[in-house]
Amino acid sequence: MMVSIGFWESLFAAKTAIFIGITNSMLAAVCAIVIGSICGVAMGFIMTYARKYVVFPFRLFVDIVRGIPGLVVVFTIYYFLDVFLRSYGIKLPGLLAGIIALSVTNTAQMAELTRGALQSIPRGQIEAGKAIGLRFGQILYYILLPQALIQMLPPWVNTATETVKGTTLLMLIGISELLLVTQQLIATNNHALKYYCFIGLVYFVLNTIIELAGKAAEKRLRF
Amino acid sequence: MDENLLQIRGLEKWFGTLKVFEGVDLDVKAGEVVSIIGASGSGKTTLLRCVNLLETFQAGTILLDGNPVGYHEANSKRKRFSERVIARQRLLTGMVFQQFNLFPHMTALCNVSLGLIKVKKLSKAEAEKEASRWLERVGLSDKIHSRPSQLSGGQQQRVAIARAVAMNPKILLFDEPTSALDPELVGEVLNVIKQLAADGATMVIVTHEMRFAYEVSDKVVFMDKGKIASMGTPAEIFEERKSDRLKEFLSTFNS
Ligand SMILES: Nc1ncnc2c1ncn2[C@@H]1O[C@H](COP(=O)(O)OP(=O)(O)OP(=O)(O)O)[C@@H](O)[C@H]1O
Ligand SMILES: [Mg+2]
Repeated sequence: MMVSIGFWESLFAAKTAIFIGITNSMLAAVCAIVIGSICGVAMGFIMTYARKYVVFPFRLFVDIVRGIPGLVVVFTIYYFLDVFLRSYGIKLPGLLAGIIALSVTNTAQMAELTRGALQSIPRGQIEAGKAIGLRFGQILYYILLPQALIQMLPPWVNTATETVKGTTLLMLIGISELLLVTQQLIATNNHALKYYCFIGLVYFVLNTIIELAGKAAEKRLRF
Repeated sequence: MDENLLQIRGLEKWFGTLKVFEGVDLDVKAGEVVSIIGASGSGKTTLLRCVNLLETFQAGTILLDGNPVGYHEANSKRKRFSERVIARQRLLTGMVFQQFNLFPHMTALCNVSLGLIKVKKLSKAEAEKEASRWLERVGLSDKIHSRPSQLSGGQQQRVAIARAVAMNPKILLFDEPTSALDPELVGEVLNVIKQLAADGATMVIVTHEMRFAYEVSDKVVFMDKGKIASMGTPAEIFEERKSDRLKEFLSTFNS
């Protein structure tokens, strides 16, 4: 049933639904970025400095995840977790599955970024650290990690904005993120184009904030 | 008094199938300044890196202050010390690299104080006081808060020297400290090294600056193809030029 009210009126009436949508989208994005960054940086260090047979499974993970479409990762993890938890009689919370799926994608990206950044740090840095008697853990923490993080900042921002966009995939496993909420609203009125422009603007603003924060951090940290 | 601070005996080093050293012996006494000269690829850098334990070596011993470093005998087998022990043994030597290898994300002060805080366990205040004292000694009191990227090559190398000496090593190792510098910046770095020598520091310096080697050294070592081909006072090496190989090598440098 179409109700013929104006766009702004309809948007205002739907403010709670839209707020929930934005919250879910942001929650998924932030969790995936944080988890992906922590796990990815750790994985990147392992892939750069561990022994070959330790590196191998991580390498495999990163290559597989990066080599398949994000949506396939989302579906695979969703159905895997669903089946797994159901065997214990637990119902899978959709948002959790979504966060895990996006985190997996993010981890693989961040691992590759970290590995690249670490590999580009000259060997002389490790040697200078050793020469003043630092142990390897201290060299990692005080010398390699900060340099890698600073170098990774621009591609990291890129990955973060891709993650924000990637949250739209989660509508396909039924999570009430911004795009799904919007589509449900559009079904009840005739403002489709305006709604899409509106949420386009929301994503754009979110990503612009991330980009600006990244630029500011880069400026402060650049050496 | 007469004891060797550094004593190298029968050092052998392989890179895969390439034999870099053929039994190198070298003694350095406390307070002595030893220069190492020689053609490219003769093994000068590798020798310093072995002493600093940045390279493994397959045979021979290196004694620092009377104690073997790098390897020890266990059940009549030669074993490398654990990384923890090696990290401690590295404190006996200070290394100054050709490419400076300063930490680019830290100020000059942090570059020098990092080891004092994390290895020597000084408090931050003590470490920074000590670090600024050394930076002053190398003539950089006004650059304490500069990042390496804001410094000239000569200034960077002086920070690197301050970083090495601040750890109070028994021996300072220099690997071509001025080779990466523009000619007009060489002097300021060599002056700092001369000053340290005058203050009684024990040093081993790989260099292509023959005049500097002549002036500053107590002993000059000429390396050729992984061996010490000649060794003597600066006068013996630069004036008498006893072997043909040495003559040939020195003739490639004018004056
Ligand atoms: N990491 C390495 N792997 C394999 N071979 C190496 C390595 N480092 C050095 N070598 C070889 O060992 C030999 C000695 O090298 P080294 O760097 O010690 O010479 P050098 O006397 O310092 O030369 P230069 O004056 O050019 O600095 C050379 O033949 C070099 O090719
Ligand atoms: Mg060399």
